[in-house]
Amino acid sequence: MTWWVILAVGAGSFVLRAAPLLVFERIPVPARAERMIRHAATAVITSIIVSSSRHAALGGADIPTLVAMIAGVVLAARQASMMRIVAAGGALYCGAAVALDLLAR
Amino acid sequence: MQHMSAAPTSDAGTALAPCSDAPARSAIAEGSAASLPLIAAYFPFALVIGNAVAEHGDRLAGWSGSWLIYGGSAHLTAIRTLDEAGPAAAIVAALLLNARLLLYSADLARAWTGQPRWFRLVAAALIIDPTWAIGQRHAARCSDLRQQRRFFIAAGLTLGAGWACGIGIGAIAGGRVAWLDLDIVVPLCMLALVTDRLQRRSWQVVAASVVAAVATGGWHPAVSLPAVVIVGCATGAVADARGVA
Repeated sequence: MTWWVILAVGAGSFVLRAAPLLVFERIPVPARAERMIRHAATAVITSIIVSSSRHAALGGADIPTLVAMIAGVVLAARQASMMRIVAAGGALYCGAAVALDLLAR
Repeated sequence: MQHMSAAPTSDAGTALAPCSDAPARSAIAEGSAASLPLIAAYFPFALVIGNAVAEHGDRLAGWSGSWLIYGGSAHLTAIRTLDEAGPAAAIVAALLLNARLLLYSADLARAWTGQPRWFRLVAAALIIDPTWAIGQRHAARCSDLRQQRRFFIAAGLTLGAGWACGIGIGAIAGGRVAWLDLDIVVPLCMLALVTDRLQRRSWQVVAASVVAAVATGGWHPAVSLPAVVIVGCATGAVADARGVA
């Protein structure tokens, strides 16, 4: 049964991925629809950032997560590279977690 | 080599620089390199899915989803819902989560005007949140269609290979790698990928989406995600009407 479910989800996902790429190859997208697609895609990615941040904050790591995300937003706004954002955010996250742990003792 | 009928432009309306002078290997290397931080970011998630696959039982079928589904949230939902509510519910729930791929694909269709059909079909299998973002970003600064193809396929395959490895390790190791805590890397990577969008004055959409995502945080993703999209689109439409977006 697992094989059938994986194959069905895989096939359905492929249709979801391929259909707009093939349809919009021939049909021009109206400017308003283009803007809506862009807004929707931005909303989706923002939602993923929020939900993954909440997940990272589980288990009492809310302050380290907040510190890392603030640093990440600042660096992203300054067009820093992904490696730099991850390195700085990760270091701050670890630093804040260690500092909080020491304070709690 | 294929040529576009008109010079492509970015959202800001500026002409894009062609990148056809770069050697083929550089586009492939660039695509692969762009995926490396993403592999690090998504590796813990891959281990979690691998662990769920191991708990489910049929490891090979579960692992095959790493390439066939190529999407963590839908993959995990399919495996877990199959155990809890049966195959029909598993398929519907996973596809609902992957409905967002319609948006990514529509967005890339605009960026890939002039690309051949074979590439659209191959690339379709590799579209997911991070590959959409890096593909969009690359297409916005590189107008050469061949380079775009090399970059995207290299990025998608590299990410897929790392993803499949992570799920495989998780499936074999089971819960023995649960100590690895790298959850913070995912939102940081995604932040880096949306930088261009923030600079395109769509900050109103981002702000409204953040509020909606926080407000719907306790809901099931198949319900909360469409709600956030509706709020984001409505905010964007209002901003467009006011001429500020």
